[in-house]
Amino acid sequence: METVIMDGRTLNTGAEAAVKNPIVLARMAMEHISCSVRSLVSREKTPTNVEPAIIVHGGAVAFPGDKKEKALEGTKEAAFKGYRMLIDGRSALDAVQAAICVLENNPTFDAGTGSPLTSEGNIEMDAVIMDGRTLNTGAVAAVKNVKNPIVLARMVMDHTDHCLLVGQGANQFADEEGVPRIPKENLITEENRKKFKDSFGKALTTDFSTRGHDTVGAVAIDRNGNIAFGTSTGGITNKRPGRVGDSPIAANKCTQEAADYALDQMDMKLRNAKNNFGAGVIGIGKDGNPVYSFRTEQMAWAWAKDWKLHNGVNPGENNTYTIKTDANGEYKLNKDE
Amino acid sequence: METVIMDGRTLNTGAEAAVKNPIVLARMAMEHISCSVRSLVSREKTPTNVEPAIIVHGGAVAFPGDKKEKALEGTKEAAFKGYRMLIDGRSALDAVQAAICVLENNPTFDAGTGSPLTSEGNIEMDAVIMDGRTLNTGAVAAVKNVKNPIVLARMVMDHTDHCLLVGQGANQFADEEGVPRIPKENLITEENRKKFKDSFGKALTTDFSTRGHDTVGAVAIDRNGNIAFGTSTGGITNKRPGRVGDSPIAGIGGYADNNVGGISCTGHGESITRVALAYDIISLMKYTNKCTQEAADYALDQMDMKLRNAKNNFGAGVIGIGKDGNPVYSFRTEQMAWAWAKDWKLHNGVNPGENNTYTIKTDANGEYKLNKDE
Repeated sequence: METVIMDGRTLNTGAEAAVKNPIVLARMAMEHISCSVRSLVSREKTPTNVEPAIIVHGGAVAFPGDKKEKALEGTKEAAFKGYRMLIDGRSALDAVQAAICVLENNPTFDAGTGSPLTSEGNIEMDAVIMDGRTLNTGAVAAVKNVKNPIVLARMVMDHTDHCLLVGQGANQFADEEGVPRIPKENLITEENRKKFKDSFGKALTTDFSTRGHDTVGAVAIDRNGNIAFGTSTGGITNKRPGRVGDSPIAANKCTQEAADYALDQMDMKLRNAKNNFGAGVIGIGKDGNPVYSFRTEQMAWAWAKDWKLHNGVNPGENNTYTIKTDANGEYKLNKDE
Repeated sequence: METVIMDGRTLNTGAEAAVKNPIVLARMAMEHISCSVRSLVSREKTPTNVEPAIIVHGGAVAFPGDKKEKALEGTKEAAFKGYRMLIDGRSALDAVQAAICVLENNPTFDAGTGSPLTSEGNIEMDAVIMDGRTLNTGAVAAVKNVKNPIVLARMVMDHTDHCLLVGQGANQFADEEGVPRIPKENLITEENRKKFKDSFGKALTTDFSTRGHDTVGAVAIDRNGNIAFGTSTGGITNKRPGRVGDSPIAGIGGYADNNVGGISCTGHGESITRVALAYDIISLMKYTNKCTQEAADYALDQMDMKLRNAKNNFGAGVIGIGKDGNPVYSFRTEQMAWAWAKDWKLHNGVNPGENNTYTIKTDANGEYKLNKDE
């Protein structure tokens, strides 16, 4: 079934196929239930039997004390969730969305629950998702009172002709889509409330690295060789209302070389800049291999491929786990010694 | 004076220089009065005596009937304004900002005055400006009730630590900066009010090309070889509130880097976003042997190819100036209003292949004048 390419542009074509192969339509419904018709149009011949992989990050920032363990646990959980979906044949887009939801719901990270407060004590969030097959993308910025901005970004991509909705317009769209409006208190952690009180009125200063500016993100490649990425963030502590950072917005070097080179170049280009606190990246090339690179003190990352999961926070740290199925057919993670 | 590079990071250094050369500080004040201290830090040795140039566009969209003549006039006026400033020694950043203000104030174009209405009958505007010398950038999106969004974008760059402010936060910032709040009626033209009434409730459809989605933009290189770009837009008719296209996102709607060049894009925002058009062109210029024209042409062709199955790809156009200082333009839409000025010549056009030329002279009073070549 993975080898069938359906032109979903006209409902008739889809229905004809369904009459002959009802299970195909059922599978399409399962995989694409939230995708609009246009996203089923294949851009190129689709390979099959690609080894799926996913890599996530929980921010290129310092994770002091017990935050480090929580960051390791959180990224591991997100990568594992996405990977289980990929080996079950789900799309890269769905795996990325699910992994990011795990990170958004985890108060350790600066996205969704756990986002930092603006200078006015509110939470404004940004998120983007992109389908590498069609180049479709959807994003929201400066959106409030929703639990999972990445889900809203997906809806922008699938249910509108636009790529980015911001502010009140984004919240209006959320209401139209039936996304529940939640009080900001649900998203605020004690730690961020304290940071807000401590820094009230102060502009961005040198303690940027402890200020919880960790964006979360994921990149995945599925069994069909389709690649997707997503990013979600609450921004930086005490940011000006309406401030939007980089997140929402899409040579012979392989992925690792390109990432390393670009990060070094960035440091060089911005060496005289007032504020350059560095960056980290995660990626998967069309060769299917997850890579990561960072020039900050730490970055929480985790990737899964070929029944192995790796994660780390400190430079050079690399914890490995093996994924097995237990007697009940459930997927389990076992730390390698 | 153009050869003096001041390290403006500490006021002491600036003041010492001022005691010796008061006219230097006066010149700095004139040129950089709205720039923050950090933007005076030079990234590299600054060349002098570069031949300045500017190119502007008024949108890669159809200009039917008498709109064509107005578009030709409007882009000519904007390029001429920017060029006069450049030959007087003003910065690329200031020339870009001034040229875009001319286009924003002209109701013919879809930016500032003349912006189309959202599905709720409001006007929400986006703008970005970037300094190719420092890579600093400032932008606003979904901002309302201001006459010149490009000026607000410049203030974001110069007066905050951020690159992009949106929606209510952008308007709050405008209030803090003392930018006058104007009623939306000042920005609405009769034509756009009619388009809004005719299309109410309808999503983006095939008549996109007549729907006034013309972004305006400018790229300039000044006597010091500094490159800047800016873009401003009111978006697309009947857009959803909060919809932001390619325009205010550095890397997507435009980019400027002294070491490579400057680019400003126009056309269907969602399509431009999906291929990251501006940075695609900059990357081609950086990593391949393509010059600005080749890179722009290639990226536009690639965009059409990558999006050939897409539901909506209404095409795009770009303007640019490489670090060689030569203005270029390229478009895959039916028309694009453009104008560039360099070496005392000004060119403009709207239709493919159209190229009207003018010579710039100074008259008896020392004023700059444009004379159409026969």
